[in-house]
Amino acid sequence: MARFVLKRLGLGIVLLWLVVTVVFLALHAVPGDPAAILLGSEGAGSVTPEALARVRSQLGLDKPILVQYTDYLLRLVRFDLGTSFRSTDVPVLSYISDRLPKTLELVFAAALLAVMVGIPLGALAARIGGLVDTLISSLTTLGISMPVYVIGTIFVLVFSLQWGMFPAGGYATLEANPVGHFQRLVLPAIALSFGIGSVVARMTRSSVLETVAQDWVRTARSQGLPRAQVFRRHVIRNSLTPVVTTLGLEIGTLLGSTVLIERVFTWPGMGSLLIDAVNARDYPVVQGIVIVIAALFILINLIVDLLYGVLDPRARQ
Amino acid sequence: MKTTSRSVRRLRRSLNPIRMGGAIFILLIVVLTLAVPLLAIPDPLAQDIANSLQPIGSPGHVLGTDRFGRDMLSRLLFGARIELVVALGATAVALVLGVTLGMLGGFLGALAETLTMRTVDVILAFPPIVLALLIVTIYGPGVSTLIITMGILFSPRFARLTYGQVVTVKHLEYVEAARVFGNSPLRTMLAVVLPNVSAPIIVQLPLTLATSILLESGLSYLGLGVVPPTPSWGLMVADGQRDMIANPSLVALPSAVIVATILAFGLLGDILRDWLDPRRGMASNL
Repeated sequence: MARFVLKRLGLGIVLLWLVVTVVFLALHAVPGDPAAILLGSEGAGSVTPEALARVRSQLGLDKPILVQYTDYLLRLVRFDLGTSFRSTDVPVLSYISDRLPKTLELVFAAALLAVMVGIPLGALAARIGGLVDTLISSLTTLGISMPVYVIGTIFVLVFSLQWGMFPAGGYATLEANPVGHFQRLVLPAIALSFGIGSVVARMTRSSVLETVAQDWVRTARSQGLPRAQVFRRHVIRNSLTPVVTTLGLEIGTLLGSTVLIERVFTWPGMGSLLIDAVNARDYPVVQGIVIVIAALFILINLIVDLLYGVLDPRARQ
Repeated sequence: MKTTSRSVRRLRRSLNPIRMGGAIFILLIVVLTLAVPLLAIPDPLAQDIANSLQPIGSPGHVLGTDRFGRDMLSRLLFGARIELVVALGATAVALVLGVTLGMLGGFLGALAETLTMRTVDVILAFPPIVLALLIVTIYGPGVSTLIITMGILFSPRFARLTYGQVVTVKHLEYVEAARVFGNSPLRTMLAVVLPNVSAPIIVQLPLTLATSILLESGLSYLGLGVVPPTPSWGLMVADGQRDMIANPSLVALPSAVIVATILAFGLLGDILRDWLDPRRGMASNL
C-alpha cells in the first residue's frame, strides 16, 4: 500500500510540474512580445513605453527565458504567485486565500447534494426500472444538457425575483449573519449540483445494473437471502467504486462551473476574482488562480485514486 | 449487400420518437442557419430604441425585442450561425489533433506514446473553462480564439479513444499483413487502421459539438467568448438578465434554444452509438 501511495504521489507531482510548465509556455511560447500582448496593444501602438517596461520587469520578461522559467518554478515552490498588476503591494496568494474557502464551500455543498440525491436516484432507477427508470433517466439527461448558468438564472428569476424565497445573490459571513449565509448558499449550491448529480445518478444506475448481473448475486439469492437485503448490503456497496471515481473527476468540473455560478449569484469566490482579473487583463492573478485550481484538481484526483485503492485492492497491483 | 441491409436494420432499431425529434431539431437548425440571409427578418444588430422590450407576438417582431429594440428572432437565428461555426470548427480541430496524437502514440514507439499521452493528461488536468480563460486573457476573446482553444481542450477524448483502439488492433493479422505487403507505416495507419477504429470516434462527434456549445455559450455569457454586438446565445442570456423581471422571454428564449440544441446533439450521439458501435450501448435508455 505504501508503494502504491508513493507512486501515485510521484505521478501527481510530475503532472503538477507539467501543468505549471504549460501555464508558463502559454504566455512565453507565443510569437511577439508577451508584455505588448498582455497590454492588448499588438500593432495598436497606444501603450506607453513605461507601461511596457513595468510589465516586463514585474514578470521578469527582460531576463533570458531559461532564467525566467527557473525563477518561476523556484517562486512557485515557495508558494509565491507574484503580485497583481492592479495593486503591486498585494500578493496574488492573499487574494486567493481570501476567496478560496468561499469557492470550496460552494463546491462541497454541491458535491454533497449530488451524492445524497444522485446515488439514491440512480439506484432507484436500476432497481425499479420501467416508468421510474425512464423518468429518472429523462431528468438526468436534462440535468446534463442544461448549462449551469441557465439553471442559476432560472433559479434567480423564479425563487428570488418572483417568489422572494431566497436572496438573489451576494454573500454574508457565517459569523455576522449565519441565517443569511445559508440563505445565500442554497440556490447556487443546488444549481451547481444539477449537472454533477445527474452524472452521479447515471453512473450509479449503470454500475448497479452491471453488479446485479454478477454470478455472486445469484449465489446470494439462491442461498435464500431476501432480495432487498442482497441489494442493500452487497449490490450497492459493490457498485459504488466507479461512482467514487466519477465523483472525483466531476468535482474538477465543478471547480470550473463555479466560475459561472459565482457570476450569476455574485458570490465573492475565486471564480468572481478570476473573471474580474480576466477583464482587467491582470495576468498574474489569472495565472495564480489557474495554477491553484489545476493543483486542487490534481489533488482531488490523487485522493480519489488512493480511495480507489482502499475500496478495491485489485487497483493497487 | 447483406452488410448494408444489416446496417440499415440497426439504424432503424436505434431510432425512437424522442431521438427522431432530436435529429429533426438539428436538421432544422442547420437549414435555418443556412437560409437565414434569405429570410425576411430584421437585421440582428439594428437598434430601435422606440420599440425596445416588445413582448412575444408584437407586429414585425414575432419573438419580441431586447432592451435596444433588436429583433429577438433574428438574433436567435444569427446566433445559431455563430454557435454552429464555433462548435463545428472546434470539433474539427479536436478531431484532427486528437486522432493524430492517438495514432502517433499508439502506433509509433514508447517515446511517442509517453509524449502524446502525457500531453493529453496535462490538458485534462485543467477544468476546460479555466484553461480557456487563461488563453482568453493572453490572446483576447473572439471566434478564432474560441475555435482553437476549444479544439485543443476537446482533443484528449479523441486522442484517448484512438490510442485505445489502435493499441487493440495494431497486432491483429490484417494490420500485420498490410505491413508485410510493404505499406509504409503512414499508409498503414491512414488506410488500414483508421477505418477500423472510426466508429467510436464518429460517435464522439455530436457529443463534442454539444460540449463545445456548452462551453462557448458559458464563455459568451461571461462576456469573454463571442465579442458583442455579434449575437450569441450565451450573450443573449446575460443581456436578458437585466430585464428579466419585465420580460422573462429575453432569458427564456435563448436558454431554451441552448438546452434544446445540446439535448438534440446528445440524442444524435445516442443514435450513432447504437447504429455504429452497438457494443457500447446501455449507457442510456432514452
